[in-house]
Amino acid sequence: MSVAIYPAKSEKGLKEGKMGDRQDIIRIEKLIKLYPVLRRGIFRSKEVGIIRAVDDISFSIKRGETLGLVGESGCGKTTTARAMLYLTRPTSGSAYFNGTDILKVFRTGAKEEIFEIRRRLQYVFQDPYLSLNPRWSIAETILEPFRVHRHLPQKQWEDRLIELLELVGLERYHAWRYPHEFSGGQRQRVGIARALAVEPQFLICDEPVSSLDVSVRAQILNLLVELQEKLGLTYLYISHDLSSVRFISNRVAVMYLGKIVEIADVDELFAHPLHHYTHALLGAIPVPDPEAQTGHSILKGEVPSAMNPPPGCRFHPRCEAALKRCSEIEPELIESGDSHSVACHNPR
Amino acid sequence: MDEKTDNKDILLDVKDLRVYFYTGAGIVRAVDGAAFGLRSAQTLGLVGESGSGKTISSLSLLRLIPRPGRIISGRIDFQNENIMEKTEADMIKIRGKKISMIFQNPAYSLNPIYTIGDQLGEILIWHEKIKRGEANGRIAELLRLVGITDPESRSRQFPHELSGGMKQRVCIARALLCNPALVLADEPTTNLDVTIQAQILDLLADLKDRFHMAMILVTHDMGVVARMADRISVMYAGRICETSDAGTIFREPCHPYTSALLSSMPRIDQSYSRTEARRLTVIHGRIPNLIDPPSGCRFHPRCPHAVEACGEMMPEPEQIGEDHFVSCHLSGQIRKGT
Amino acid sequence: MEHRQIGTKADEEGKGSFPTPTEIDSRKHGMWSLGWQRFKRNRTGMVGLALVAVVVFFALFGPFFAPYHPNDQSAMLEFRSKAPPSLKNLFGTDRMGFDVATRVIYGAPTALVVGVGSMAIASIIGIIMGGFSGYIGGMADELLMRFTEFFLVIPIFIVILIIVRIFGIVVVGTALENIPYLNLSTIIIILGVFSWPPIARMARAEFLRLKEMEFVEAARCIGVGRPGIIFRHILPNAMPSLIVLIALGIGGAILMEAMISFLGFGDPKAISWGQLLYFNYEFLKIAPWASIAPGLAIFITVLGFNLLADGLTDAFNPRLKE
Repeated sequence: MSVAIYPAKSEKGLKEGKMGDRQDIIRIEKLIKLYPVLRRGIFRSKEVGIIRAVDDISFSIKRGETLGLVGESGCGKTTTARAMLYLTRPTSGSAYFNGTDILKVFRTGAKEEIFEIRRRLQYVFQDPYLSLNPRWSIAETILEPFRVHRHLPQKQWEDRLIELLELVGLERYHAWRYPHEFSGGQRQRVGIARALAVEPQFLICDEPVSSLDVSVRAQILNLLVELQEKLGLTYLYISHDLSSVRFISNRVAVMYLGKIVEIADVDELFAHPLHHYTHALLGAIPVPDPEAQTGHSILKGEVPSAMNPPPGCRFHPRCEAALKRCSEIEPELIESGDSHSVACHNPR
Repeated sequence: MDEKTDNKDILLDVKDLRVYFYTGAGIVRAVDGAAFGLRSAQTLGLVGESGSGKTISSLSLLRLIPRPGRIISGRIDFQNENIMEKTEADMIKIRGKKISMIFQNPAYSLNPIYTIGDQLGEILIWHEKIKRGEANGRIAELLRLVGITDPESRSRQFPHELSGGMKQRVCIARALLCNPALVLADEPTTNLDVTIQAQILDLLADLKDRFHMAMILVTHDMGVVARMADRISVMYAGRICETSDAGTIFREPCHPYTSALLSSMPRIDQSYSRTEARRLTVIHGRIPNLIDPPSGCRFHPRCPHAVEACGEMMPEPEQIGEDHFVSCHLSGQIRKGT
Repeated sequence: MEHRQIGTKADEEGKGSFPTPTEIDSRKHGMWSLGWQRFKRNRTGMVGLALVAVVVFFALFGPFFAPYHPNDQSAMLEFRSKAPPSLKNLFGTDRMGFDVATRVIYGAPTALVVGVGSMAIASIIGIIMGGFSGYIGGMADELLMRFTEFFLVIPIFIVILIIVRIFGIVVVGTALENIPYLNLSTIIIILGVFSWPPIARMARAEFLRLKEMEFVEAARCIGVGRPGIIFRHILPNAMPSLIVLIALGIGGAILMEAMISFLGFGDPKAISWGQLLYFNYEFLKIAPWASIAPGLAIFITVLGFNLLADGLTDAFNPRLKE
């Protein structure tokens, strides 16, 4: 049974520009987020366990590129994103944005500094039905960032609002309608417009198309790519749907149970996955082509609980190539080849 | 379905199914003239997006349409008997026994206050009138077959003690308890992780062969349907656009919706690194309102090939190949890539 | 709701120039007008609204067209007290010669003041307590909820009777005695102060539910501060459920006041329906109309508010079928 290796059907074309020369706009170092599991008493609570949702991960993203973050449920990808923007308080670690540790600023910085950061980094949420205030018109939703940040004088707001609407493919008159009058795809566009209102440089896209119908996904994916090219944005694209990740990312990081197990350029990862989990993940996806069928499971068992991760390499109980040291020592993320890093004692 | 083919083998033949919902806001034409069918031991993939009517179509086979919906018209021939003419008492004997269903969200389709063993046992005892002891034996055997280790102790557990994948296995076991001739699987893997999905699909493929059962797989995932289905029917806004065997649908889709859907999906086996490649083919517009659907062909406002006739007359299914039916005025002229 | 397609320009809504920010603000009726449309279709709610509207009308304008002065006891002098309904007195006269219809009309504003006044107090306290509790969580939440439960357990009715009585005694001979409607105000305040727990619980539940919603997270992400989140995002979304409770509460407060007055603890100088019952129930056999009229008024008013609340529940939580 041959599995899961996806050499690009089209020729390996040029990568966009000189990716290697670009600066790191984001650098995450040793990010950790732990959730204590408490047993509630009348006055005190006892800690009976810790969920290691994000367990010491580090990665970087270059200006203008898209890093895809993939993994199954419970791997920690959404927690990573929220911790980066301090929507959840990270337990420890740093997140450097253009050289400044924004986590430190969030913890202890002055209000103006925090504001500044909130402008530069924004978030596009997954659920277009829940991420808009149902009692506010679209205009109010998109104008709120202006009201909060005041980065433009009020008389320019109207023009900027129209610009934003047109940028995401909506019409002027949509401005005074309410979310319930729109479809999922349109609401997602509103969410994107809102994120762009403050002119950010970096956007976290958290499963932006997962809740949308298949025929609408292409519209939003195209929009994201267009906006990146037009506005020079950098994306962290989170998804469990690898085909959209392949489409939009330049580099991809694979997470499993709170750790990054592999990072590589997108075509390289799909053609030559080095980590056995990546390999299994790619192999599990059914391809829309009855002839070229992979979609066969080569992975047994279920994802273990994040409260008691297996010792050593977290994937070793399910790994076909596990060695003895895999159950003893946790592998480090080591670069092996052209900007391709993998955390495995026995990579493919 | 085609009259010329061998009638003996046809398990299900649905003609002109119409299911309407009478809501305060208007009449929702959820299914508006759908025709599909399959033979014994065949798998039919019923593919469509939200609002296409695929779930309602499968519920119609069990006559389980919730109020305010009603099956207005249509003929549903199952094992050469018309389901539409059966009484509720007859239907009760069919549901779970001759036709069973696997639902999308395993967490919600299992009763949280009863153990697995109790829930499965209830079905066996009700349908086959056997004693509890014998039922337990069959349940354990079936649980082992669907890949649950230590089935005896698992039977005594409650649904919340099982993981998502395990719950779905239990639901599959539940559907197979009485050896049904037809299993309806409604998005059985949508809520599961990718690797678990692959396990469940493998399991279903294996069980299909083992039990010689027919399956209608309702899904929006073209990958899943490519993996599992022998025949595929593509639905849009309550009607079937195109029906054919799996290979043909993917290689030579003749309905504009089918080909647009296939080309708008990002592929995992394709590179998008080149600048020109970084755009997907988009289907403009959105899924129509089923209370006030577009006139004529439901897809015409979004169709790049639409002509005037498309907005005036509803196209009927035409046979354009040995097992290839298309509902399009321009069928025959449209091939993939044109 | 008609459906629009983006692909084709089928929706030509050329609305001229773009609305200015102030115009946008005045269009805030989007959600409310939708709720109103749903409400209109609900027969129970509309009946309730009609009843309440009638009561409000009488409360506001009744005194202008009431046939007599409420304290006019001329009928007594004419030996027409305890007279059955006639052309002169639409609802007859009561045992002291007052025209029943007039007094019932004058009872309307009292009832509304009691209902709305006490619920206003209850709402403010309840929303603040519940909202704070739900939003902050933790130990503060626990303590506040225990405090709320304590209030729930207190038998309001008896406490009010006691306080009103004591207050009545204490106030005699002091300067406070001369404040008009002191007794009534006391009742209103106490009713308000003891009716807030259900509102607090609902507010807490709504705050808990809403503070985790994605649009609130999005607002935080943009940089909106806590007051902005609470007042502009969470509170407006919590209002529908709270309004229902408040409508029910108004009816309940009116009923409470009627009971208090009926037992004789009411404000003798205020005209309230409960008072009328208190004065006239002994003469039920002789002059039943004098008790029936105010009783009917109470019934219609409380029913009206209850049906209104019912209709509002449906309007804000539509049971969509699809």
